[in-house]
Amino acid sequence: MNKLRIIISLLIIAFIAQACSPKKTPNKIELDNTGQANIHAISDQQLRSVMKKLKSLTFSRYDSELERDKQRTRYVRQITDIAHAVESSSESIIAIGQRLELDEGERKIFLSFAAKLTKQASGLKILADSGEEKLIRIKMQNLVNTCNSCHDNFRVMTEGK
Amino acid sequence: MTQRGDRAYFFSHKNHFSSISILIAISLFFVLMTPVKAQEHDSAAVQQELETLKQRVAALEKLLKLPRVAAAIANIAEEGNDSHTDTQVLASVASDGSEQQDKREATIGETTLTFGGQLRMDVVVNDPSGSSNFGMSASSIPSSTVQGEDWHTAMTLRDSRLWFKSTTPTKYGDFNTLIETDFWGSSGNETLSNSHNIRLRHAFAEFAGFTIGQTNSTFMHSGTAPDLIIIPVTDVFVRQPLLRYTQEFGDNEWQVALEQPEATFSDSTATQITPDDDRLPDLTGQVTWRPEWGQFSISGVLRHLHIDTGDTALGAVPAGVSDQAFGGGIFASSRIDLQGANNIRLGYIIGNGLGRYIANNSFNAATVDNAGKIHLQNSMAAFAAYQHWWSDNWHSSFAMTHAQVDNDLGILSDTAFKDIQSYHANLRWAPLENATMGFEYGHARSEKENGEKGRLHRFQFSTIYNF
Repeated sequence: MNKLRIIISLLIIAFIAQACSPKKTPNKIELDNTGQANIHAISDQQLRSVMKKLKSLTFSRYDSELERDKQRTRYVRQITDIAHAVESSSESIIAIGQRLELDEGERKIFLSFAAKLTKQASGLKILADSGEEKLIRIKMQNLVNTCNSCHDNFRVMTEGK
Repeated sequence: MTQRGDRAYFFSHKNHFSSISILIAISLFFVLMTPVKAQEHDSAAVQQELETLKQRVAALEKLLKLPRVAAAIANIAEEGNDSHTDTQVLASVASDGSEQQDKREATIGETTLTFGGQLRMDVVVNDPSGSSNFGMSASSIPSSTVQGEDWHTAMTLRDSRLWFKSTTPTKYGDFNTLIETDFWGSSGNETLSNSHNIRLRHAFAEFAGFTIGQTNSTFMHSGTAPDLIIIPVTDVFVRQPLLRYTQEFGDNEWQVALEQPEATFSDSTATQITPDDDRLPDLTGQVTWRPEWGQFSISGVLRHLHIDTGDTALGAVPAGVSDQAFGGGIFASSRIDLQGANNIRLGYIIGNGLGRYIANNSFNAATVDNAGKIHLQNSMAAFAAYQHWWSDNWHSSFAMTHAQVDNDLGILSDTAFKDIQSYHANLRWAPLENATMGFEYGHARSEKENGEKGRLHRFQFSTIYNF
């Protein structure tokens, strides 16, 4: 009976912790209801998740350094996959820019955002291939910044039209 | 006549002579152009040359990639982060990241040598104090019937580590070696110097799927154990010499190994005895799957347990008796990933004769009665843990663990331990990739067959820096 109470308590703690978990960390960039940017938001979440696992791995009690190396390799492989997916999705943004009903000035701005995004995505892919974990994280944040800037400028306009 | 005739024939067939000359010349040309060296070399030498060329190509490719990576890094800086923090992060990345990695590496020939370690300081407060400040097993949980010291604080850096590894590429894959030590050797005193001796943790080589040396047992699972600061009472932990073969399939793998045997028995007074009569190595095996949702591992151990007292009694076991038995067990565990990096970790271990493979050897593999006969003990252990990430740098784990054994009280004293549990809650902060600190509260309980109970409240603060 006592054990049952403890199990129930643990489950309650888990649910409360999950419920109280901030959906966005204070410094995390907002990406709600921004259409195409959700692709990058999901990738960002996946990347953050892999990065946390990498961090956990560093402090595992029993694993030897060679075991950690193998786990790191697996996680870096996951990061590479995410980077490749982001690059693929960024290329489609340019096509969207061609389809949107924008005047010349607006289109120029939109395409410059798209070009910047594609460049950042390519950089992310290169960093992922090189295994530079810390830089990947910064690069991903910069990339999401670009997404947000673009959506701040065009989301209402495109939806209004 | 014949010579003259031949000469006549020779000179009378100038054209024919010219044709032969041309044929000889062409033949010579092709003979000279044939790659004589390749024919002279044996295939091993050619293979070696090929490998050398491959390595050179790989090195060149690496050099070619460097400017691209450097450009990508420079591009990050150019992207202009508004926040001062980001600028600081970039600066720290530039100064601490890859440069630090390079500084601890050296290359000799084709071998890369790497040196590293961890600095770890633990502050432990036990209430009441028991037989061990830092360990956690049934016998280290103070009995409730004995009035112990209420609060006792101890500090140590004995879990600091040093490791040295090497990697040499070969045509069969990398040849890796690792030696790792900590300072849990013989203990110094707390009065003056706190000098503690170095101790071997890992020393092994890996090559072509084989692992030879001392490292974690194949029965243990990496990646599904609760993320705790205090050692849980049901820990599945054995580090020993072994010979292991590993076969990977995708991200998954299976392993089989022969490992160091060491039988621990209880005599009829519930005192532990360890005869030096081991004959066969422990046979272990493991399969690990890593699907998208986390990890699942299952492992098994098969052991030969043997006692032969010869002319000398061992504990309550009389001289001149001998017996043997086969025991074993199964361990299944899983890590189930939830939203973000949050996860649940579950484990279940059951067996007959598991002994030292679970719960830090709180229970023995078997009881040896007063006639010298081995009676295997059924034992089980389980754990459930939840890890929650509050943010990118803060995370907590909540865990409960339980282990128990079926003692045969017809042959064993009722002072034997029956079961143990521990409950844990922690909060850890990892502001850097290689540094963390955290605090954990743990409560452990034990019970003997005679109803005697033990309890322990432990608070542990730990800070770790990896270099």
